[in-house]
Amino acid sequence: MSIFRGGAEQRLPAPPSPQGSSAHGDALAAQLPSLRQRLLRHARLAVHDQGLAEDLVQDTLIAVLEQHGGRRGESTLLTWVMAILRNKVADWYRSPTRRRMVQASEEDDALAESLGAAYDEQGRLVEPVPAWQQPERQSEQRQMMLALQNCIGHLPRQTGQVFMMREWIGFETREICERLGISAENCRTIIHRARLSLRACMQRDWIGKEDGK
Amino acid sequence: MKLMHSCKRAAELITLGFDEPLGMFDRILLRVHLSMCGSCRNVRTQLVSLEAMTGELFSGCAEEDGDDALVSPPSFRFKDSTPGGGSPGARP
Repeated sequence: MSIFRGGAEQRLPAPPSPQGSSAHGDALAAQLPSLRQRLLRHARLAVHDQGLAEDLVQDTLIAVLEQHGGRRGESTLLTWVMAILRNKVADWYRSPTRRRMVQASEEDDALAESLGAAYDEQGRLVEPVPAWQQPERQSEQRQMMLALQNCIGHLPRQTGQVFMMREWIGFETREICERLGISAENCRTIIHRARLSLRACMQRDWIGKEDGK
Repeated sequence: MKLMHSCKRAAELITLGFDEPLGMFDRILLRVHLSMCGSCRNVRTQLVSLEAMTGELFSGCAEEDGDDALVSPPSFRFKDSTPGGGSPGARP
């Protein structure tokens, strides 16, 4: 059964609510399409698979509709919904029936190579790394955050997946390697590459552009 | 084992320190390396900053379109900003 058949953007009925707060439910229904988009973007980053991301988001939205009536207002709607998605993704990784393994793609290998090129044979940095000017204004901080988000979105598949497992879901390294069937050393290397890659990406896309103004 | 860590090894230890405690030997060698290498100090500051931003990005309302809660200035400050920038990082 899919409550989203016939296009995801259609208005959904207000969820049943124990308090009968239909105004509350209407407000939620109105937000569902945009919530769904946000969840999808996040789920895609986490699992790098469109179909799976859609399934996880659909499960999340069903849980949202079911539990919304009993929700206490201690967090924002988005925070609450994101936490539900995070649990769904974590459950998926922990599910014993999960068969999908993340393989290193060509892009993952290319990333390793390009990051390695920053060092000479003795492991010294080939070029000096300048300090970054930290943004003072809120608008600039916001720009920097968006640039980071964009850089995360451009991580290669396996690197991005491992990074999200660590930083978003909060899995320990031990659990990541267990879930993905890779060695702990390999897992550490991938997380390290992800972080170095984000630094390089920000240097290029954010600092580089700021300097070019 | 070499007595001095390379920049490459230093970077590995910096990010490893985000996830797990470093051994004493590595901590000391990293500290020595950072005290002598300005580029690696910059790398460390940037990695620490990005790690903090990532945490913030994932902690709540982390999406582009029109959320004022996207960036909250007070918590944007580095988690372990050390004045002078010369002291080593990578704490457990």
